[in-house]
Amino acid sequence: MLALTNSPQRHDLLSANESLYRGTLDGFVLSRTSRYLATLIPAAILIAIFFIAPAVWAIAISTTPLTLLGATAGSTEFIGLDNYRTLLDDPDFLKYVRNTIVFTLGAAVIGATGGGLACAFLIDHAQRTGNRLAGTAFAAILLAGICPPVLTGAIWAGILDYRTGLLNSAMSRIGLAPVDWLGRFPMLSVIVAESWRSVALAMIVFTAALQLIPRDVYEAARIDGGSRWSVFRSITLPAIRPVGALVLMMTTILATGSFLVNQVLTSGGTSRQSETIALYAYHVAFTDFRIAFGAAISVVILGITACFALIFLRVGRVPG
Amino acid sequence: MSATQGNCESLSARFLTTGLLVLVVVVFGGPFLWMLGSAFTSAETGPTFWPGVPSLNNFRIVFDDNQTGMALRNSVVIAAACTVLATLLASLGGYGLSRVMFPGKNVIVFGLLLLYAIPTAVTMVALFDLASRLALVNTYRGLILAQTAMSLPFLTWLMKSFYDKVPRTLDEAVTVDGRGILRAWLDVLTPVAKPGLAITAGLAFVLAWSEVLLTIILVSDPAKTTIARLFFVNVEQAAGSQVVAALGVLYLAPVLVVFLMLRGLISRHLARLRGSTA
Repeated sequence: MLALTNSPQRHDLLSANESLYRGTLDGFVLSRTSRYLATLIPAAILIAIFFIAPAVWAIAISTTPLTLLGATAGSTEFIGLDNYRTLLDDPDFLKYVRNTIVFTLGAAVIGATGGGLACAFLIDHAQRTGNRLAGTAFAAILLAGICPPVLTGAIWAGILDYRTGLLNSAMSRIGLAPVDWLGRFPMLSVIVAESWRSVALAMIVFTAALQLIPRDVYEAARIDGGSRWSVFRSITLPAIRPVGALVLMMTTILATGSFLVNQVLTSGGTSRQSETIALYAYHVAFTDFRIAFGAAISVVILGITACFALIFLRVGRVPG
Repeated sequence: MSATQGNCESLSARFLTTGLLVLVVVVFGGPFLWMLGSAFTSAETGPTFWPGVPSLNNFRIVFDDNQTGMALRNSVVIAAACTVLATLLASLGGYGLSRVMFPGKNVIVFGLLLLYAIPTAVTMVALFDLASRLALVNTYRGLILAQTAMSLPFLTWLMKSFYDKVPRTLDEAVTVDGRGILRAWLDVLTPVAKPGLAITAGLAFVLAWSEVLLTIILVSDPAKTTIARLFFVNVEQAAGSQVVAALGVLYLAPVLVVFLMLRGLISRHLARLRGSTA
């Protein structure tokens, strides 16, 4: 958001508002631009109350010692950056940052974006060759995509359970020893479960991009004798590249803040091996009720989100 | 990449494609069947894919808890209200955003996508503190408004993409002759944007029905709990248990119904996308 308010286009927004104001004042018919923008007002009000205000409020309370219980309950005394200093001095925090990077690389970059791209290639190819299963596969991925995160965590907890889980009973049937997946590989378990439900977004966007390539373009390239690789480079890649950066940004930001699947599946792991920053914020604020400290962590997450958005603005293209 | 092969795909390639598609269906669909199977098996047998004789015992346990019925009722009320409100505001704002032409438009579109991605982890702590100060705690009103706000960025963007496909000439005449934006919006909305409206409403419902974090933040009164929260609380105690699987089936059922209703629409929409280019 910081990137947006500093962008050169900001004055256009302001001038649009000005013309809206002048229009009503003089009793003239509003300019078409401001009339169209007016349709966004109800949504903007709700978004301001429930997104912008809490984000600003988080910054404000992160400079207080506020807790829900104990000696500092309800305290709004100004303590500056003490919460952030505590955070940086905490050796565990570095570990949670590391965990977050591993989790985001695994779930967003490899799982969601890579997996989504692979699925999109498969489904697009299947559709072009008239494979009947294409629709079913698309639907299965979509269904996983709208599965609530908490339910996703519960389903995968059932699959990966040491004693009664699907995976271990399947493995014992072919003579393999059971593995304590959630205990020994908590991060891997969380990445798999999180990827499972976030493949859909990338898959939909990539499939839509691939389907826009007309059939005759491929055919012409084939008649011209282009190798498979050169067809891929000159036709397929340019079709998916514009949306690729956007998908990568969205999945990365979504994964950075996602923690419900993790909470249900491992709750951060027995020795915090899968505790990410977002999950840490949740634990601090809603298990320990250290509100101000939790707010400080959420401000850090906001900063990371802003960084990803800035990087995207440098390399990607904003969709019209 | 392999799409270059067209229809003259070799038998072995076709076999491989089918194999991979089956794998995708199993990996993404299988876990749901596992939950369903487990929910209908008695606790002595342990979770399984296929209960020989389906047992309703887990569901009996779930409904013996009188919180379940209450939570279901609350969820229906809240999700219905959110669906109506969010669909209305998203389709109105999406229309304006699709038709407006000014240099800051990209900023708004990007901002919506960013707001959609901005994690609840950023806002949840402050929302928890703010809500108690603004008397939004333990009210349907607070939950409905908050949930609507959470889903609006994505839904508005989605509706915009549907309006973008409607030719401007259709509604431009209306706005030019001064009958107003609202009239032009309704003119486009009713006939042309119908699949978009249905998909948006369906997603609004799914998002509202699924939402658990806002209920944790905004509700402490057990009488105001939702099925999502009830599920979360139970899962925290015994994630892999079959009773939780039964509760999960109840939690998922409405999502599944909406999904099945929308499936045809979505694939028809994609087919049209394809038809227009092939």
